[in-house]
Amino acid sequence: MNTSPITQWDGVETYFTFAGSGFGTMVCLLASVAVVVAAIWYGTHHESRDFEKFHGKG
Amino acid sequence: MEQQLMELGQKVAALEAGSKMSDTINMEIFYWWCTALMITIHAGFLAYEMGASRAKNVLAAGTKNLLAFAFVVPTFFFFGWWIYNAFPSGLTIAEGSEVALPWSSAMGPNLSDNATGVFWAAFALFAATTASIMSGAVIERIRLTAFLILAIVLGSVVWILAAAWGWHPAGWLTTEFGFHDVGAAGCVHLVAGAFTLGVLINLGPRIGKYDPDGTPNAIKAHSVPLTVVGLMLIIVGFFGFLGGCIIYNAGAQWTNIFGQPATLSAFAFNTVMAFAGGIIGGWVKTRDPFWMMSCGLVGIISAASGLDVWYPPLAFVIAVVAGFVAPMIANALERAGIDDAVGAVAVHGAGGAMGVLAVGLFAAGYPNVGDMPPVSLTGQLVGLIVMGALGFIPGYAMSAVMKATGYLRVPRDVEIMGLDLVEVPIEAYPEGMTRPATPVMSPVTTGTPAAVPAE
Repeated sequence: MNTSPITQWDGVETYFTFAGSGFGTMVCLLASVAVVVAAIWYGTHHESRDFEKFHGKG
Repeated sequence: MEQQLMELGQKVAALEAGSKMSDTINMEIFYWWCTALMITIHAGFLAYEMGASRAKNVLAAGTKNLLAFAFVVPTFFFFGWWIYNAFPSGLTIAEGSEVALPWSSAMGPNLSDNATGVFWAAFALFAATTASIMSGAVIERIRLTAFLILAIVLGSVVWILAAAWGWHPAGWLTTEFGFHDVGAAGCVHLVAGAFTLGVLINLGPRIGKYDPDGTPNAIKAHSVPLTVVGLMLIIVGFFGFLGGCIIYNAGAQWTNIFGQPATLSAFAFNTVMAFAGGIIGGWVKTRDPFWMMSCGLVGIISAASGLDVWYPPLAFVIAVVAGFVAPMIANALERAGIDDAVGAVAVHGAGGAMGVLAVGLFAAGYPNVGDMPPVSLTGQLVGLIVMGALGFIPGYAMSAVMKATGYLRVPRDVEIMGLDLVEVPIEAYPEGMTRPATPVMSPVTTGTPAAVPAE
C-alpha cells in the first residue's frame, strides 16, 4: 500500500502516512478510537466473567 | 570586492540558518529528555503502588497502573491536547485551536513543526501522571475498567481543562486574576487530589480498614522496600516533570509557562531545597521513613507554584511546613472514614493547595506580562477554589453514578480473596509470600496515619 503523501523531500512539511488524505487519516483515527472503546468494553466483559467464574467455584 | 561581500553575506546567512536549526533541535532534545525522565514517575508509581498493596493484590495493582498510562495517552491525543488549546478563555472555543485536533497536519511528522510533538508528549506524560495520582489511592477494591474510565476523564479532560484555565499563557485565571502556578501544583496535584477525594467518598474503604465502631486499622504494605524505591523514582521523574514546565526559547532567556522570564537554575535551587525541606518536615512529624519520602514529594509540590521566584531558604521552609502538615491531613481524612491507601489526597491535593496558596501569601506583587494583573493572594485563592471544584465535582459525580449502577467496586468475596487470584492469570510470588507471617491489619496506635506513605 502506497501511503506516502510525498514523492521527494524538497519543501516537504507534513509527511506522515495518509497526510492530505482525509479518508485515510480518518480511518486510522477512528480505528484507534474504536480500539480504545472496544478494549474497555472487553475489559468490562472479562472482569464480569471472572467474577462469575469465581462465584461459581465458591 | 562585491563578489567577496556577496560570498560573506551568504556565509553569514548560512551560519544564521544553522544556528537557528541548532536552537530548534536543542529545544526538541530538551523536551524529549524531560519526557523520558517523566516515564520514571510511572516506574515509581508502579513500584510504589504494587508495594503498597497486600500480596494478594500486587499484580492487579500493577495492571491497573500500567493501563492508566496506556489509556490516557491515546485519549490525550484524541481530545486532551485540543482541550488545552481550545479553552484558555473558559468554555468558548479559541480561534486556531483546530491545529490541535487529532487530524491536523501538526499532529504527526511535519518538517516545518519541531515543537508540537515534543510538547504534546510532555503534556501526555503530565496527563498520565495526573491519572496515576488517583491510581494508588483506590487500590485493592476498585473495579479495573471503572478506574480506567475515571482515569481517562481525569487525565484527558479534567486536569487539562484546569491547565487551559490556569497553566496557559492565555488562561483566564492568569489573564483575569494573575494566577501564578509555574510547576502545576494546582492543575496537576490539586485537581488530581480533589478528583481522588470525590472518588474515594463513593468507593468506600477496603474491607477491614475500619472496625464497626469506626476505629481505623493499618493495612500494611506487602513490600515496604518497593514503596521506598518507587517514591525515589517518582522524585527523579519530577526533575523531568518540572523541566517540562519551563519554556525553552531559542536564542533567548527561558520563560515560565505564562511568558514571564525565568531560569532553569531557579527551578534547580528551589526543587532541591524543597525536597530536602519536605523530608525534614515529615521526619519531625512522623519519624517514619515512608512518610519522610512522601513528604519530600509534598515539599516539592508545595514549592512548585513559585519555583521561579522563591528565595531558596523560603522554599525550604514552606516545604518543611507542608511536610509536617501533610501527615496530619492524612490522619484527619482517615479518621473521617476516607480510606486513601497511599495518602494521595493529603500529598497531592493538600500539597497542591498549599503550593498555590503559598504564592499568594509570600510572592504577591510579582509582575505579570503585558496588561495582565500581578500575583496576588486573591488571584491564588480564586485559582485554588476553581481547581479544587473542577477536580472534586466530576470525580464525585462520575463515581456516584458508577456506584449507583454497581460498576465501581469489585464484589465483596473477590475483594476478600484478592484480585490477583480472580483477575490475573499469573502469580506474583509463586514460591512464597502468598501469606504474610504476621497479620496485615492492626489497630492504629500511633499519631500518624494508618495509610501507607503517599505517592
